[in-house]
Amino acid sequence: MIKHYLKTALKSFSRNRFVTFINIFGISFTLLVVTILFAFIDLEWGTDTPYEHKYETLTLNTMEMIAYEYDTIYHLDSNLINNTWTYDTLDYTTKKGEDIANALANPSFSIIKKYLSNVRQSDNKTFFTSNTYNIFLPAGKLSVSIKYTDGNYWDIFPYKLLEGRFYNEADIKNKEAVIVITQRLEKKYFGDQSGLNKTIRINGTKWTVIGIVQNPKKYISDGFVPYTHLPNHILNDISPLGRFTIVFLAKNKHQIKKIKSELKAIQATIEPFEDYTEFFFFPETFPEKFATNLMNSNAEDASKALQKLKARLSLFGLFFILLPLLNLLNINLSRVFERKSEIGIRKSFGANTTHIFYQFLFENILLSLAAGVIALGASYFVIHLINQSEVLDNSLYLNPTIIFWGLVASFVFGILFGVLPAIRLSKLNIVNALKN
Amino acid sequence: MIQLKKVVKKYRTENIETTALHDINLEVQKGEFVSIMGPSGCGKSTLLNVIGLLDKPTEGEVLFFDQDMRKMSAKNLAKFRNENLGFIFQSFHLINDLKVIDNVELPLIYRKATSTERRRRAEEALELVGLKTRMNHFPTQLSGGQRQRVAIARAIVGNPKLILADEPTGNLDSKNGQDVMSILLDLNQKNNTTIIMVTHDEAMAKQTERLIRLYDGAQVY
Repeated sequence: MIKHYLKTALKSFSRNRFVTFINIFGISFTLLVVTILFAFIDLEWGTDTPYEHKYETLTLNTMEMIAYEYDTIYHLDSNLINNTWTYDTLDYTTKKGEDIANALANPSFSIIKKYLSNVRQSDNKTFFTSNTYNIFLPAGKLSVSIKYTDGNYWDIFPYKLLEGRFYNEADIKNKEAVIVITQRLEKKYFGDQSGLNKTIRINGTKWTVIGIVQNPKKYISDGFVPYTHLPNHILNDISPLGRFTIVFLAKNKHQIKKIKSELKAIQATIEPFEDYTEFFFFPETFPEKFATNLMNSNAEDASKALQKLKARLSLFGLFFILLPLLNLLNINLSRVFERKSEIGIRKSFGANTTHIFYQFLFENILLSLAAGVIALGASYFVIHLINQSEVLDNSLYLNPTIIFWGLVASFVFGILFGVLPAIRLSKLNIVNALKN
Repeated sequence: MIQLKKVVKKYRTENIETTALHDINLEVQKGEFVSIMGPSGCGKSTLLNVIGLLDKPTEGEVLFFDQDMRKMSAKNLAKFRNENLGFIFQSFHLINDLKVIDNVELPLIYRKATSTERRRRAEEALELVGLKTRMNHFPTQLSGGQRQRVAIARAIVGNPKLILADEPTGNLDSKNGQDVMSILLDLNQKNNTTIIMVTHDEAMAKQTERLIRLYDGAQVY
């Protein structure tokens, strides 16, 4: 039966070449966009190295401190002296707390050291901060981003080490001038030669390259050095607000909630700083962080932003699939309705509604899968072009997951735009169909 | 074998109701070759469609082997058509996308038959109508007479108990028409296949055992 359906389908496709082309082009173009979208989604949401723990981490890079201020009422007094008005201002201070001053930034090193070094619910944690420096090479200026991290960084972000080693607690404690660089920086700085054990001069310091890591899909940084190299004014700053990011590792989602609760408890114990008496942490999971960034929302509204993002993406996805689907459905209906008399013949000789339904559904799935394969080939080409153009800091990839989802999407497409014509054809009245 | 009792067929549009068949009572015995004649629009094809279970009567009963067909589900009707009926149409109704052999195999596709078995039976049927050598051609590569012979091969491949032919010679010249008629007569005489044929051609009708005349949807006695 399948062989018979296949024969009929192929012959019908080749007979209606133009309509088949429009169908395949329409589906493959839509799938091409869907696949590239998947590649972008995978770039952000995927768990490729070094983001294996992406969904088990809680990131804290925003905290707020609040000072309750005195409200002030200004009284203006005026006098007429020698035909001239003079003004005198008198201040009257009212009650405290009706107005507030707040400051929002990353936590400082003092907060990490004093309050966050022992979060019991977390399995592990790392902290880091970044800076960008210019390196002047014979070929020109090179702008590099350097991360100052602790030793746990490599456990929570397990980069693929290509050569050498990561720095450890001893290197950090002894303030060794060591650096781990990405392949990208190695290539830019050392050309085709290996950079291992060579020195690299950044911001006046000669760093010894002790490790080379594979470029992650998503750009993070060019190099990593022990945080103890940060200037003293950063490490000894007593202000609660600073420039650090802390990432907590949890066993599961449930534990993430527990870490959030513990952080809430910790924030209440922070000692007043100057006039600031209340402190708030805004830890975010990866999806929440993504949503707040994309929706341009505050960290305080992370879960609302995530809900909003989900709703918008669903709506966008629905329209994106629905519009081409309706167009293709229309073309497809006219294509298959040309074959009314074939339905009449088949039904006269014993085909029932199910036979006809499956025959036409099969044809549409076949068409969509063919379009899916073309779309994947085209996506590979387009992604290659995007990566070559270096428009993005990150590289897009077509991994097996994307290929799998691309094919699933084309299969679903085939079902979606094949079901309606198949149902309508299968219900055709035999006599009317034969008259066609 | 077949009984039609007080069969009425009406077509309704928004404003008009047309009666295509009035109170048709008919009985066809196994092995009979019956022809139906009448002027255009008298309901010949409608009657054939009702007998062939392609269309449902508005009123009345259609019985095959004393079984009332009204009670059958659409799925069972399809199965019944597949196992018991073979159709030959005036305009051949071959599927142009399929080769001759695949067209002939069509009724067997909807049965439990292996592809080898289907191929063997289709080749036999084509041999019977003298077109085995054309089995890999497409219908568009054949003449009208050859196409109708392919249609006959398709109608007989499933070994049906009843063949319903709607003006099988209507689109053919007299020689090809007679060739087709000879095949049908052979099937009736040698295989004892029951045949009901609608025709305009008095000469063809005279070759059959019984003639039923219709006028304005009613039987003329």
